[in-house]
Amino acid sequence: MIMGTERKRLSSTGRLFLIPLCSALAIVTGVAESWFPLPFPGMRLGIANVFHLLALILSGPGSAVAVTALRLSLSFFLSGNVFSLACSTAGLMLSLPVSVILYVRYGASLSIPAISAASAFAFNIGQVAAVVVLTGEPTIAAYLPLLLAAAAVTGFAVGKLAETLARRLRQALFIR
Amino acid sequence: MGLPPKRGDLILYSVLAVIFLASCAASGLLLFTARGGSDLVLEAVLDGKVVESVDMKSLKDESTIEIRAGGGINVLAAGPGGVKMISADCRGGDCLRMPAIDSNGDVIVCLPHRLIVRVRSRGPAKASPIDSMTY
Repeated sequence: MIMGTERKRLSSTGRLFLIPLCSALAIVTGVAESWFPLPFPGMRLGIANVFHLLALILSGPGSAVAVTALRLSLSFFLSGNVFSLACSTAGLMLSLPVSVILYVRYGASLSIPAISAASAFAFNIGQVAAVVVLTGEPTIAAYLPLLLAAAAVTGFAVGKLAETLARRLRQALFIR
Repeated sequence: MGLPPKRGDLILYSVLAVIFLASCAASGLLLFTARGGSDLVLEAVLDGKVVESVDMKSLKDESTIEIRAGGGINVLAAGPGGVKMISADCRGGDCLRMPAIDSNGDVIVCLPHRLIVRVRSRGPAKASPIDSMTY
């Protein structure tokens, strides 16, 4: 039974495989989902966040930060797009603390899908703020409600997926 | 399947709902204050400077405007629903998916080329003449 914070974490050897594995999977899903057409620019499915959450649940905040940093920097080397880097960085600066703090401090009373939805909200707010600053065009912020509505749905679904994956992996890896 | 929601979830979802409603209100405000105005002009802004400006009335259906920006070329076309980006040689192609613009305050953004195409009013804004003077 997964119960918030008072559970055993991965060994350091476990961490050694979990961090690169989650980073690699996050980068690949990030590239793959960019081919998936969505009605509005800037809207993402965010499936890559499953692996950030997985690292957070199975191994703790340090690993989650490591996975996020690796994914951000390596994705940038793959795409070479400075502006998407700036937007993602701004989004992650908000969403990473939100997910880590909610999970570590309130993990006992919050479910993973709820934490994930909050984190997706934070990401989109950061991203839109970055676009407004970069372009100096405040009207773009009018897109925010649309992005937030999508983030609520995808964030919840991603959280559900991460929750299930974490439980299965726990059983498979005999972490209790 | 899956775990049940926890007792704090409702509080968090309420907070998210409040943030969502606040963003709706803010965007409504942004869009409404920008509306109206006469003598609409289509402006292409590159790195904060207006590089191209065309009277919306002079644009006929299917006339195109080419803009060189950030080492690439963006092509705009006028149509029945307004002006749309029809071609851009940037990586993302996000601007191609943005809806056509036709009223004051509308924007199309091409981030990789640092290009913004917007509709502005040259005429006096009805609501607040002071803003239009100082803008």
